[in-house]
Amino acid sequence: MRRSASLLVAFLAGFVALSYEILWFRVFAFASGGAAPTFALLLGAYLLGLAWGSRLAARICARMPEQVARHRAFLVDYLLLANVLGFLLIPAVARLMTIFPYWNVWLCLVIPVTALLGAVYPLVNHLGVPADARVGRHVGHLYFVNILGSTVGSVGTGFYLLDRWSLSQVAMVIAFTGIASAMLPLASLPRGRGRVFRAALAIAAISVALFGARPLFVHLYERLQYQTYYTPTRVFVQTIENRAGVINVTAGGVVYGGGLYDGQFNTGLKNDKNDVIRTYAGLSLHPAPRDVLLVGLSTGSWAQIISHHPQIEALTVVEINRGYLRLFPSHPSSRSLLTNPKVRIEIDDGRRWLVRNPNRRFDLVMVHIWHWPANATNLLSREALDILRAHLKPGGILYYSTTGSARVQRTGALSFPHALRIMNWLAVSDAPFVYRSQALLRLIESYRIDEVPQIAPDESNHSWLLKRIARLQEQIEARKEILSRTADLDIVTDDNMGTEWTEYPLWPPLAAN
Amino acid sequence: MPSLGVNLDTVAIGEADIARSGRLDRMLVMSAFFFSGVAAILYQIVWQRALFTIFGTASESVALVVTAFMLGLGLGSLAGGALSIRAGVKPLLAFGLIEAGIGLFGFVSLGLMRWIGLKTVTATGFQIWGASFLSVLLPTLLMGATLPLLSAYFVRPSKNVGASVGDLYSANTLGSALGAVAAGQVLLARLGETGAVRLAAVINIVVAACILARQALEPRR
Repeated sequence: MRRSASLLVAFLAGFVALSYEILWFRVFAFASGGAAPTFALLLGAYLLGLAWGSRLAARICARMPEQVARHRAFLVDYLLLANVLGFLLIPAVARLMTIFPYWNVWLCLVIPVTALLGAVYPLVNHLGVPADARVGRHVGHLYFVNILGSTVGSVGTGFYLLDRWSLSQVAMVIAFTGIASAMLPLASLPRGRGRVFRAALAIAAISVALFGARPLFVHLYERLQYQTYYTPTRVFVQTIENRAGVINVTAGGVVYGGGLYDGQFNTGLKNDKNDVIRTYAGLSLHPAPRDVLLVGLSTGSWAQIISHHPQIEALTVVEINRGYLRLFPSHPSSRSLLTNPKVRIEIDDGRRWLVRNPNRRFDLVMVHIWHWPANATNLLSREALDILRAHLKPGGILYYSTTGSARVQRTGALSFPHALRIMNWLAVSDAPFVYRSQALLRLIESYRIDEVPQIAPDESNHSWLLKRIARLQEQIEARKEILSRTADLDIVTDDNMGTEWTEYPLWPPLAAN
Repeated sequence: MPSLGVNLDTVAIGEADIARSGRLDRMLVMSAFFFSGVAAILYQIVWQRALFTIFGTASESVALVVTAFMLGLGLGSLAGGALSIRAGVKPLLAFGLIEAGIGLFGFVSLGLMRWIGLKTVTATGFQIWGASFLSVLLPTLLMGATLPLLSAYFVRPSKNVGASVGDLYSANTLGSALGAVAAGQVLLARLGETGAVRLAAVINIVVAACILARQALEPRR
């Protein structure tokens, strides 16, 4: 094979291999609900396949060192097969998850596909590099363009293509590119039945990618989300895909972000399916919350409630995925957020925004987060709490989700002298504060969202609310009790990464909703 | 027992010894490259994680950090290739020294990254890329240089590029695969970021010590 052709095949092989890794990561991360080990385990399976493939190629080269035509034929076969299987892996995993819902088992499917990809690099070296004194230099060049292709694959696919097209469209483009890369060694095969057969295979492979994308990828996210609960009638009414991730909305108004339950469209207390009483309770802790920061937008329900607090003057929301903003026009309960002059939405990583805006101070800071997905520690560790503390005004309160993690609760209770758990949220502060059910009741009675009161004016008896508040009272825990209950646990630090690597569920919670 | 005279028997014994020595040599270098792969993936997982903590997990930060890694490896492969054809450069010695360099950097790496993070708090766009690139430039350059160097070492006697590169790539990648699984299942949960990076650095130092000792004892190539 000519040197320029070897370099081009090495580049395209790198591009395709990294692009598939990114697409597969999206699928497995969605299936795992963003569990931290997903990346490491996928990488392990991926590299194991590469190791196997390169070993296989080494054996082929050792057994028949001079049979160049056969090496070219192997190269064509591996490229074609790898790209068809790499493409099919995505819908296959989605379907398999509906039968046996353990994503880490299906990671094994990555191994044979990357084995085929892994055989490409040694074969290209064998075909394109003469075994002379300059071999190291030529191997270095091929390695460089292979890595360059990987870089373009990583950035081009992960940053650009996934921001513009759906997963199925991007998978189709990558499969086309991979199949096209097989054309170079195919063209250099000797004329004959072998070449015709492989050209026919290439056409078949392109047909699979072209005509298979739509039927194979239908209900992909529904299958990955609902897993064994999946039925063909259970479909998402809205799906937003961009480089930051995937957002899905059910007909019932439940929102999933990257496969993880992310809330529901509701700001009312009468049918409090998303426990927004926690929002009102948090707001009632501060005597006069004027300037509030909310990290994590999701359905906008919490932001909507906060922004309608009678004393709120400004609400800053930091959200990493701008796709959430596209949900609001079609959902009345959050629609006015986009036009509310009190609300300012910043699209950024929460911790990075906090670090970059050291002078912003708030009466109340609220953080929406699960405790175990990848990088959750960045907002839950002792170091993160120190950063958050610096953004509190005197008397300011930090109120954040612990999603029931005792370690996260202990970290908060030890980092601040005053702490209170309200259901699965924790309020902490350097200044004393108290929870009073009467203050919460008065606040709710005065609440109007988009001019609609929480308590209807003609509703003289609201015993339902009193019962709700009484139930809430049972789920409140003081700092001393938190520390006593969690005495044997370590706190969460940036270095130990909290519960990310230890408490992730094999099956994302609330998949059945 | 060393051969004292030149006769057919002793020549046969000498060739067998050399063949055995070659196999041992190959096994040692392949094992070293396997463990080098284990260490490399531990660094990659922990350093990426540390850089995401500093620069955020927004997609542009992720892309920039990954690109910085890749570019360092790519430039390293060019440098390794260029080094391998220089007269007087012993590939195995260079590999041993590179592993020692990666290990020494490993010990100070997290501290350095956090220091760079403090100095670049307000970094945006290509400033993030620049800071990430600077943080990982030296070790990724060194890591990238190892495959071309060892390829030169193995291809010279075997004259088979595909077999040599394939075996080397396979050993290194297999090490990385096991390192990634171990990181995801055990190491990061038990050791945290600092512990995992220290373990990787110790692996590099042990690999370097073995290779340099072998080089000192076996100056045949």
